[in-house]
This record gives sequence, C-alpha cells and structure tokens, in this order.
Amino acid sequence: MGLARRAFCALLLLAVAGCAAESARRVDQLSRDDGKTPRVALMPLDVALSRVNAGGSQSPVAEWTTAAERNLTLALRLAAKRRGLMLRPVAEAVWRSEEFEQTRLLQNAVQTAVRTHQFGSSEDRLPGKEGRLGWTLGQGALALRDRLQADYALFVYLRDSYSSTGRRVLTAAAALLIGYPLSGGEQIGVASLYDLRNGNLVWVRELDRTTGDLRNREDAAETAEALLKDFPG
Amino acid sequence: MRWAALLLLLLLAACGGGALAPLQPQSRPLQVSDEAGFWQTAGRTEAGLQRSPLLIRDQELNRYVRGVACRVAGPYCGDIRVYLVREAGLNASMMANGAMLVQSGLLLRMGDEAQLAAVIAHEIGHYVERHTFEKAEQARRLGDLRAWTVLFALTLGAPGLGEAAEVAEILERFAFSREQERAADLFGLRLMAKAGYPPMAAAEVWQLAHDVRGDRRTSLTSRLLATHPAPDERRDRLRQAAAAMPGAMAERHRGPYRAALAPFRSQFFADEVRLRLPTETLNLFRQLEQRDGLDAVLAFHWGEVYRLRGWQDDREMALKTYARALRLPDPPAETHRGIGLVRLAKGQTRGARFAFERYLRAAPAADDEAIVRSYIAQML
Repeated sequence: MGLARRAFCALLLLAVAGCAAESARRVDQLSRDDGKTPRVALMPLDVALSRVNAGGSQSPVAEWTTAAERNLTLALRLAAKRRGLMLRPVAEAVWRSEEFEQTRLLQNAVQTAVRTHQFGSSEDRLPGKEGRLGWTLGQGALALRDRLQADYALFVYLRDSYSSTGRRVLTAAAALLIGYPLSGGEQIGVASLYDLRNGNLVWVRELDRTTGDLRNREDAAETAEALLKDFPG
Repeated sequence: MRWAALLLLLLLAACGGGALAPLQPQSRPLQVSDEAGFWQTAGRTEAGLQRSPLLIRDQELNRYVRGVACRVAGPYCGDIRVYLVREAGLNASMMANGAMLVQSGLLLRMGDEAQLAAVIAHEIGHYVERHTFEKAEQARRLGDLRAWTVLFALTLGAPGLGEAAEVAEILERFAFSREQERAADLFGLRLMAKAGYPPMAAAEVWQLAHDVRGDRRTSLTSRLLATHPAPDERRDRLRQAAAAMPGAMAERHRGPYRAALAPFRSQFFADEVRLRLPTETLNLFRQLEQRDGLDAVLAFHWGEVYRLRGWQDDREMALKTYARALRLPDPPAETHRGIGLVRLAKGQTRGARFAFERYLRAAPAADDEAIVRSYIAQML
C-alpha cells in the first residue's frame, strides 16, 4: 500500500475513533481529617487551542487560548458549585514558580503516564496495576498543601483544535470524491485530583472527542461538565 | 509519472509565499494575528526556562553576555532576552518572541567576544526576520498543497503523484529551513559590522564546528534532510561575504571574554566530558589547546576523558595528562583524585592512597570527601 493511501487510512481510523471518555477513582468521597468541608484548589489550567489547517498541521491561536483559560476556569468553578464544592483558583505566580517546578514537572509526568498506561491502548496498560489507580506525587504534595492551604488539588490539561475553512472544504471534497472521512478538530482533556495529605492521585478523567468548544462561555460549561463527570462526592 | 513528480516539485518550490516584512524594534504582533499564537507558545516556554534548574543565574556572566547582545542588537536591544543554559555542545536558539537560549557549551567554545557576538547576531536575525512564524506558515502552505494533491491523485487513480507530493513536501521543508539559516547568517554579518565587531569572526565559528566534526563525508540524503547547511558551506559563504565588508581590523575583545568565562570553564568542561563522546571531546580539546594553549584546567579534564574511556593505554595517557596539569599553574585539586582513581584501577594502592590524601588536603570541603575517605580506609 502506498504512503498516500496509508495516510488516508490512518486518518479514516482517527475519524472513526470518534469520542471517548474514561475515568478512574480511588475514593468515592472527599474527606478532611477534622471532618470539615474539604478544600479543593484549582490549579492554573494548562490549556492551548489551535486551528487545524487543510493539510492537517495545527497553528496555535493566542486569542482562543486566552479566552479558553478564562471560560474554562469559570465553567469549572460553576460545575463544581453545582456539586456543592467550592474550587479555589490558585494564582499563576504561586504554582509556576521555582519552588514548585519539580512538582509541576512530576505532575505532568504522572498525567502523561496515566493517559498512556491507565487509559491507553490495551497493550500499554500496566497489568500489575489491575486497573487500580496507583499513582502519586509523593512528598512534594505536602509542601503544596501547606502553601495552598488546601486538602486536594485539581489539575486540568486541555488541548482543543478546530477545523479551518480550508480543512472543511478539503473534508467535503474528500467525502465527495473518494468517500473518505477526514478528521477535523478534536478535544483532548485530562482532569486529575490529588489528595495533598499523601500526594495520591484519587480521581482522574480523560476526554478524547471531536466535540466541545472553549471559545465561548456556554460551550465551555458543557466541557466542564464532561470533565467533572464522576467527580468523587 | 516521473514528469508529474517533477512538475509537482517545481510547483511546491514556487509556492514559497511572499517574504515577511522584518519586525520593527519594540513591535508586538496583534493579539488577533496568526503570529500571536507563536508568541504565546514561546512565552510559555520562556517562563519555564526562567524556572529551570539548568538556567545559569550568575549575575556577572549574565550581565556580560547581555551587554554583548545589546551591542549587536542595536535598536532591538529591548526585544531580546538572553538565557544562559547549562548544556554541553555548540548551540544557541531563538524563540519567536525574542527569548534567546545560549548553551554553556557554546560559551566554552568561543575564543573571544567577537565570535560570541557572531552567534548572537545570527540568532537576532531569526527574530527580526520572523523565522519561527515564517517556517510554520511555509509548512502550512506546503501541507495544504500536499493534501489537495493527494486527494486529486487518489481521485484520478494515480497514487504515485500523491507519494511524490509527500516526498516533495518533506524536501522543501528542509530546504526552506536551510535558506532561513543562510539568511540569518547574512543578517548577522550586517549587525556585527554595525556594532563594530569584525564580521570574519562569524566564519571562524563555523571553522570551529567543522574542525570538531571532522571531514565527515555526508551522503546526499543527509544533506537533503538537514535543517542547517553544512558547517564548511556556511564558513565559506560567510568568509566570502565578510571579506567584502568593513571592520576586518575591529577589536575582538578577547581579554574581557576570557575573564568572564574563566570562573565557569571547569564546570563547562566537566559537562562536555559527561557527554561520554570521547572522540569528539578529545577533538574539541585539541582545537582549544591549539587556539588558547594548554592550562591546568583543560589538562585535568583532558585526563578525565582518558580515565573515563579506559581503552588500551588510556590509563597511562590519563596519568601523563594529569601530570601535565600538575606542572602548570593552579592545577585543580581534582587532578589528585583522578590520579588516585587511575592508580586504584591499576591496583597500585599505595600510590592511590597518596593521591587521595593529597586531594583531601587540597580540597578539605569537597563534596565527595566521604567517599574518598572510604577509599582510603579500604586501603589501610
């Protein structure tokens, strides 16, 4: 099979993969040692939005990313409120600092590992974990707990892309001429919640779908709901 | 089919798109522009760099390098931010937003301020000519054209044409990257001349890169798939262009450069040795000896390369080189440790112990004091 045809088949598979969401949790209820309402910190979001060009490459769009950060932060707080939970946003300057740089990198690594080995393809899933959620930030979480005055920390990673006009035209032409569906924009998101008493990852959810929009408030609310579905408690 | 592929190549080469106007000093892309996305991405990378443990935060060295950058940048001084990073190897890079990264391995290799200025001027060329954005735009245009070509090729039942488009796209992307490097080289020369540095220093940087790499013959494929032109090609082009420019006798500022680098040389040498590429590192050390002469710091690290490689007569070579270091002024205390380790490996315990004891006398507060004491204790 030629390069070109193989590329098209790969795209076809991508398009058929459609939307998937998966979550895993270690606790059903958030708790606090003294029995009071647990405090959950919302860490600065890791969000980037881009445009899918006709050829499939992506270009970052600053305006969209800036709007999405605002929209999603607000939407997550509202979605949590509906669950009876107050999220406390943490300032950029506190989290993205030299003090927490190693913890931040570790959290990124945990998130990547979870995506690959917890939610990834069957041969990438770690058999020893037997589907259990066995990941932790370790001792680094304790410093975070003291600094943030919080019991839990919620991290959200999100990459969202949208088809350009060129991509839409090409997609229509490809459907018409050769009957191949091309992939367009997609939304990939991971929300992870850590217990700061021990650093354990207690809940995580991954979104991988071809719907969702963060460029406006109304649609961002839908994404926030989709991200926080199955949130403990 | 061959004519179709050829036609396509020509078509792709032609779709370069108009050159972007150079950035004006103190300009920022509009938030709604396509370029802003690249600045935003760069801004995040830059913020991460500021927190990195690899960032060299020494004020003196930073002030010195920034001074050089400002001098070559001229009106762009306020747009360029230089980050010195602890990393071996000859490299520097520029981000879309004017954040520039200079590896410590580059500082170690430059012979004087003029050569450092040449590298910085080249990188400023990438910034002013908006190469990050230009390259992305070029890749987008090529990708779009390739996608349409593949679609029509499949429609017409001529998949070979689609494959040719894919190959042409890849070749054109690399060729474009090399063109940008050449453009930045020439831009850099003009900045140097304006700032009063000898432009010929830029050719010397590529002579150095070429010498360390050796006269490796490169295949046609590797040349077609290279992001940068070959060092000797760049050296020759720069030499030719620099020869036609004024300022050949301009001050090179060798003294201030060597003085600024001096406190860090030993650290930076150690980073090179740690790469464990002994052949290349020995090549580099020979180059540096030829240019700057041999001093005790270089000799010590040279001995380390032999000790760590441990081929055939490397132990003897290491001992000989350490001995040279000790005969030069101000040898590093670690030279004795190196001698001790080689003698230990050779089973000469008495000699090893003697060397370790000298090491601890010369550096009583060394980080590895405890482990060296444990070696001595084992030999009693």
